[in-house]
Amino acid sequence: MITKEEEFALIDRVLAGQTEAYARLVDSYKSFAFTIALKVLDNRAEAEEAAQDAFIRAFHYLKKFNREARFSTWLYRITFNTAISAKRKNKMRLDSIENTIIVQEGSSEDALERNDKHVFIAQAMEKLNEMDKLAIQLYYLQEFSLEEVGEIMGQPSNTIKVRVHRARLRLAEELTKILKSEVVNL
Amino acid sequence: MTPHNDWNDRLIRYVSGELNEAEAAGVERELQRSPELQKQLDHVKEIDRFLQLQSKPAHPSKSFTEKVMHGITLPVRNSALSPKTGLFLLLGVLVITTVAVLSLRNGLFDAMEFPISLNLQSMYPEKLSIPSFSLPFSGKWLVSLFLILNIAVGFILLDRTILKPYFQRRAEASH
Repeated sequence: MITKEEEFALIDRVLAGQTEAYARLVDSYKSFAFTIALKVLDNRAEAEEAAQDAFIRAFHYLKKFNREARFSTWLYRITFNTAISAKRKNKMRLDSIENTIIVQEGSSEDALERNDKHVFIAQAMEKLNEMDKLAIQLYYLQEFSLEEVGEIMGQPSNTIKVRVHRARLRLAEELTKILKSEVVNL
Repeated sequence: MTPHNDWNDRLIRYVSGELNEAEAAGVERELQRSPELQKQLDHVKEIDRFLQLQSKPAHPSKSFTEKVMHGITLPVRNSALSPKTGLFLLLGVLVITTVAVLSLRNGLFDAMEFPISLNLQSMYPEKLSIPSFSLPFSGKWLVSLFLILNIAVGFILLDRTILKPYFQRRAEASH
């Protein structure tokens, strides 16, 4: 993690013609930029391409970066918009529940039951409004506050707060519904 | 909001620590009384747990930085038109222009000259007295106009597809 001052010093070097200094910025923020693109696109190859495009665009527009916000926030906003554009282009691609990573937590009965629930929650996630889903995923990344999620998504923080709460509510509702129907099917 | 949903709302706020002391105590009392509500709380907590598990940042490939650093050295393509599409369109414009010029030279549109008359009086026979209009129509003119527009589009395509990228490359090479 680099400080705001270090960010600005690196930007100054890049603008002065030392383009190799940009590699330090890329190394510092590539994971989160890639994660944001992955949340939007749900496909590693496409996410990697979108995140790379975002870094390249940010480099070419670096002169226009006004330094009011952190470089990272500005970059993540570009990444989010690039990924959304890529998603629109690939709209015909089918989203798949198989892409959802279910973390194995041992083999106890409790863990198995938990994993079942996680599969159901993953199913419920697919039923969320796209923007609500992205808001809750970005918010839970823990790197970002509601304000930052708002800046990345280009929406007021209050809207993000509503989206996150609405998404949690909908997930709880869907999980209850799914579990009830599972009990009936047994 | 259904009572079930209303409880979900309260439980989410309870888990997030958004309720005041009295509200939280009310939820805790209700939780002790109702095993059903306890289940609902477990669901809310499980959703939080799931979202937290999914929240770990993912890592891109090892060559990520290298690819970005290579990408920034490439010239920026301002136009949405790829060279291949541009050349294909330019070829289309040339074909259409050639066909139109040959058709004009061979007098294919010479016979297409007649007046278009507008007789509005026939639509309102009694109420108004409207003079009838007559506009000359010439197929030759129309095709000539189309030809001029086509040539203009051709020049724009030529500029975007060949000339601009060529001079940009030359300018970059001279730096």
